[in-house]
Amino acid sequence: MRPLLGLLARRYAAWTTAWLFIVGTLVVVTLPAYASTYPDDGARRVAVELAQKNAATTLLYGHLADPGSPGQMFGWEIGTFVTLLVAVLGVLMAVRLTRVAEQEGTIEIIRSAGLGHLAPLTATFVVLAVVGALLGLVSAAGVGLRAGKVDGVDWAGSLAFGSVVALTFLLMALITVILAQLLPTAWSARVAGALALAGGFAIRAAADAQDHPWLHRITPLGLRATVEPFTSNSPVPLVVSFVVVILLAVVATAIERSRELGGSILRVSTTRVRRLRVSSPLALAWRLGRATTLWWVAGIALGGALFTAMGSSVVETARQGQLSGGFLGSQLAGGDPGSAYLGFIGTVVAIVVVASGILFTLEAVTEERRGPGEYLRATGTSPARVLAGHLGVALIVSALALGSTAALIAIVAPQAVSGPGVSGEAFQQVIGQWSGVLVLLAPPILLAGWSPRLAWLGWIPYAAGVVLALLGTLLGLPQALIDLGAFDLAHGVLTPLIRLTVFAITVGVGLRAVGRRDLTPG
Amino acid sequence: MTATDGLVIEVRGLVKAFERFRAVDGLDLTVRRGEVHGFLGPNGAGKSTTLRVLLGLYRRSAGTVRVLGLDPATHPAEVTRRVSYVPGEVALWPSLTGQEVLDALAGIRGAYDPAVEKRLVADFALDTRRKVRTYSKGNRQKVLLIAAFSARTDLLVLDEPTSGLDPLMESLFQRCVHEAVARGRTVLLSSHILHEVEQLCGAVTIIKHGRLVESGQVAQMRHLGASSITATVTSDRIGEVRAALSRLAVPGSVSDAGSVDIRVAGADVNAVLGLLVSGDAEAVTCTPATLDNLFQRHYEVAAR
Repeated sequence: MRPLLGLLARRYAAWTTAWLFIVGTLVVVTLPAYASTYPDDGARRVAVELAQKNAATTLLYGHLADPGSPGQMFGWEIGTFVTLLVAVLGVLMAVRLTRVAEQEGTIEIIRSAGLGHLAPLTATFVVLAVVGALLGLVSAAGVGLRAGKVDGVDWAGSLAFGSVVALTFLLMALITVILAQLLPTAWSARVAGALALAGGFAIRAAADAQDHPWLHRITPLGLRATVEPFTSNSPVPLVVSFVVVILLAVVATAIERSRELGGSILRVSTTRVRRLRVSSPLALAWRLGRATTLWWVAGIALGGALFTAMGSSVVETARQGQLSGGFLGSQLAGGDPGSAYLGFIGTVVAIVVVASGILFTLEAVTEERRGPGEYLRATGTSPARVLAGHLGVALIVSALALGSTAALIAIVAPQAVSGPGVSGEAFQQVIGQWSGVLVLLAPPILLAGWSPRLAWLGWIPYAAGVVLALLGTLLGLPQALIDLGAFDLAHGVLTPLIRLTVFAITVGVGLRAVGRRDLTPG
Repeated sequence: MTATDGLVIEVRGLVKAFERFRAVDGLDLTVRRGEVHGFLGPNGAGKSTTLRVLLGLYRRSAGTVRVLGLDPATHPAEVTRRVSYVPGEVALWPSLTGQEVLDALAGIRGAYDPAVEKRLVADFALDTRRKVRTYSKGNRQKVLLIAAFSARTDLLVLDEPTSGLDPLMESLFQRCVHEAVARGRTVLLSSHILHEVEQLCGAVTIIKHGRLVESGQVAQMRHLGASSITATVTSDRIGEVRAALSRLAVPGSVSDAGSVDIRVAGADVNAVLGLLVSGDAEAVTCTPATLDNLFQRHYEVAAR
């Protein structure tokens, strides 16, 4: 077992370190901003009361507990993002350690190397436990270092916060481990894990919006609300969650015992008689990503419309000058809050659109390294066409998502935001992000063309854009720097033209580079 | 040199380096139109790297390469449009069915024979309605073999194409190769299955450590290779036969019991057989050199 754990540690060290870095940075960088955003306690109190009454923020983050200290506001807002982030990591990591490893054949090798039937699953539990503990430690230490320096932050609250992060990760991961045993493929396990995550968020949101606090107890994303870090620091939900984690592991083990290697409890059809009519790498890439594409587009459009519909009270409050701090206050600062809110929605939509676009773009790298890219390039098509095919799908997804979301938000926005021309402005705020989307899709293409092993670096400009757009004001970054961000809505002709030029040149270099380098298998 | 000169592949002094490591080091390779050319060498000899250079998937570090009269480094798509390729590792799109993979590869290439594809699907007994993720290694290999043979191409580049096939399917594969050659296509076959190479290939090239070891027609190589001769000599003639063999500088031995077991170069076979006959040897057998003997000698050297 020890060599197996060593093998897994080496394999996932870089990946885990990257996530620990993201979570740690998010915690360490944002906490001080909650202490410095409000000039005095009176201003903070106003903001807290508004947040407590606001339907949108309640749906998004839950209830903000009294008295609304900087520590509580941090746990309320950033706690939402951090728990969501580690829940996503839990889903991805659980699928990688179980169903992906099974599909790639590594579990077969491990089980035939003298280890028992349950050894790979046991190793998975150990790895998940270690990663969960590290996430919890990083979160607790990142916050705890400010104990006594930021109002409302103490070591007890920090440890409760870290425990919530660790257990949220473990709960989501173990639910996904079970789903991965029930379903036959990594893709279906990821979809099921994502749906479980979305369901968990919806239950948590319903618990807060409909005032049914008992619902918090049945979703991993409700753990933060039941523990209340920096408020009650209740240990009971933590103990209960730990017991649930053990029970989930027992259930997963029982399922593992009852199934064959590569088998699943639920069956899906493995045959199809349809023919495939494609004549280009673009058409093939579209066919391969079509189902996922439609999920992304529908999810982005519905999510964008939902948050637009919930914005009425926050906009009205801000228009009365009573919302001046915190994450949402920083987003609505300057100009008309109605326009700013629609701009915020446009930014969030663009952030999700670019994430989906980058994933589709990087699929070219996955195909090249796993094998299909090799014989696709050996069928008389150039490597540039193959790469351009994946970019084409990313552009189609982006265009469909931006277009459909803009249209839907244009219909919904007048119900939530009063004022003239709201519908057109809502449409413009979303569709106007097209040049930012383009400019952020270019680096992954450049890197995929130049060096597939470095393609992951294509996420860095994206991450920088997200930080500038969402946290730039909160962190007190210079406005000139924030304006340089790709998600800053481009006005006029010049900025879109510059971004379009950057996109065209970068993509051109990437497509040229891919024809001038070796295939990179493995 | 163009394809019309009768050479489908012409490689001179090919070097392919990955940083400091030279996977291929000054290789020469010539494949004539219409022949089945075996490409042999131990693991890590540089065979797959060479094949990828021929397809323009890798760019050469030095040397000249012409495939169907074109340089694959500058015209990769033009070359691969006329080449069917089966790589050593087969990883298909798991969410597609076997038929959808065939359709995709045929559709993108734009030139294939649907009738041949249909026949081969039946011959290889492949259930193309099933998703690829349910296929065994052999079935995944069948998909690419069917795609390769049903494509309208001039050259087939096959990298260990039968490593996952059962003996029945291996036999079918050999039939497909013969049919392809009968239609004027050329085959470059990388394989470790020596009897398969011996049955299929008119010419072979052996490489080791990225360098050419031996190349030529199989028949000629057999002739040059060492034949195995056994016989039994009566006790009173042992000394005489030993002395005569020693004069011919033939390696091997004549035991004290009179049994002879020697390996003789093709040019010396007649002389040795004459010697044994004049020495009243009995139960004389002569087994011509096989490719196995030839290759194993090179492989063993490589393994040291």
